[in-house]
Amino acid sequence: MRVLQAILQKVVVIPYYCQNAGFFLVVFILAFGLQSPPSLLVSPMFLMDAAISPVFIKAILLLFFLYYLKCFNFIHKTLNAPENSFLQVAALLAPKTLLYYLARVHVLLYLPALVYMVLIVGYAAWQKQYQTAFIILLYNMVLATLSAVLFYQKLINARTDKKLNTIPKIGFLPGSSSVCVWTLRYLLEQEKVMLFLTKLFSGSVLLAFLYLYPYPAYDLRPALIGFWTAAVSQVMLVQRVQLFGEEDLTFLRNLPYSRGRRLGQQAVFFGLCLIPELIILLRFLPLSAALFMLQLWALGISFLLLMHALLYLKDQSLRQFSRQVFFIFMGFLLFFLTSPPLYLLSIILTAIAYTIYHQRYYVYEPEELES
Amino acid sequence: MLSFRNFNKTYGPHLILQIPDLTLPAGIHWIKGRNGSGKTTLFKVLAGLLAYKGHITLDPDILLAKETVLHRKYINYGEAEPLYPGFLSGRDLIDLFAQAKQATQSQVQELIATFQAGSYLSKAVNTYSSGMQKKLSLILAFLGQPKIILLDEPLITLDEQTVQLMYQLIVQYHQQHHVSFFISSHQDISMPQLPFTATWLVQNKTLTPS
Repeated sequence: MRVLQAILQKVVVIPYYCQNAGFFLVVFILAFGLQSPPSLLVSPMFLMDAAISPVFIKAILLLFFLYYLKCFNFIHKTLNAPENSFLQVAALLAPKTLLYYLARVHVLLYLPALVYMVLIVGYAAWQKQYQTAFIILLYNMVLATLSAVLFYQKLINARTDKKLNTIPKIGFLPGSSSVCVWTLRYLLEQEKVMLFLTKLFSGSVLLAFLYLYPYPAYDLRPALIGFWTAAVSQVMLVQRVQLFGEEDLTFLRNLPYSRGRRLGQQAVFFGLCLIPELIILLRFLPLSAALFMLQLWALGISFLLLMHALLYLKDQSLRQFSRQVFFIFMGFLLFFLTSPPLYLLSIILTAIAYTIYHQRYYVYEPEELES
Repeated sequence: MLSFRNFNKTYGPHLILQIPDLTLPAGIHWIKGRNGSGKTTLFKVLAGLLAYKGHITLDPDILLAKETVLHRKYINYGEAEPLYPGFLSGRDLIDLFAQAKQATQSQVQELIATFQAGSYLSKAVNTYSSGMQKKLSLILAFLGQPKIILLDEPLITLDEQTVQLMYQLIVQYHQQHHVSFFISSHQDISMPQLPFTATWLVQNKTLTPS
């Protein structure tokens, strides 16, 4: 049944890595871009210490679980999508075969975590921490089995399981004709795991900077760097939102909105997205720094607008986009050392975003049409 | 009414449609063509959903590529197989379209009543049947004060009663509001209730009078 394997590869695995390029980029930047060599998350020095640290092992198990949730959510959503309802025919396969293919899909999505797990297990075994190595191995095997069994149950019970075909409602968001609210509802209802992980990640990074370099013992630059890193970690949200707009809200292109208004709607949405980070800033910085915080917020919004606009560039590929994000992130980190006026940066980024958006929005077509 | 000059639409290197010079007068037009001939692509271009090369002018001198807002104000589109985010309600979509296309509340209520959609509009779209979704897309297509309404395969998934109501609405909008209609179909069916101005054929990658 290599046919099913090939189909699952095209329907689940490849789209997962395409859609999560932004996520992996941010992880890459944080793992390699901001670390000194001895503290690189994959350096032997770090792993030798980490493998014998109960705190690190607990933290890594938690991270594995969060990443597992992300993978699980993606497979669940993909199997539920109406266009993939043909996959129910797989229920006619022998149980062992189907379980194998479902476990394989899980493993392929979970691969980045598995690679890291192998490294830790290896170092734990080398340090004679056999119990730790065994726990990590068992933990990941349980997760893989759980995925396979749950998705197997889902496929064979699809005809009677009506709950899986309905979307849970978010009670506190009323019906609205605002596109910003729709996008927010989309993230809260259909991408909640991704949203949760992104916010957890960006919030943690910002908190770490604010705790380690508290104001006024240090100046405001650590807060700036922390917020900038948190803003960059929202790139995966930007990617997902652009995809949602171009795939699910294509009818918006038929509405008589100017490009400025369309970009304005995005700005409002990104502004809403960055409110949790703004609240964290408010909690840690004095009110006398309110203007600075507002400038940071504006900088974050303008950066996300630019990222959104970059996705409309001609022949834009995920690889190119990742490079652009990386260089903008690193370039600005260096630029911040010169204490540039943040309001001016926000204006410049917004102007560039508007120029790209104005030129490209109506001539942009999704990649599959251009191929 | 609608003029094409040096128009061509490609997907990557593949030419889909080419219309060197053609003017379609105001009226009700039937656009016929086989599956894959390019009818939906033509409609999506006219609705502003897809990019193209060349010039399309809406009477008297609205160059669609330049006047992007007027383009979308004056041309409405009812998709062949409408798909909306499942968590939205029909009411959410109608409110947005009514606001954007500057439709009056009386027009909204009239259309909802005509298509007998009031009973389900407050529910999430993912609970709709394909016929209900089609009715919703027709309501959205009629909202505002368009000069042209594009209806892509309007007959599919509709019951006979709704089809008759839609015919009446098309005639009413054409006679009372001077709205032109482009109606596509790959079916070789008759629509005797509609006073067609002209019939066009999409074939050999171009649009010609039938």
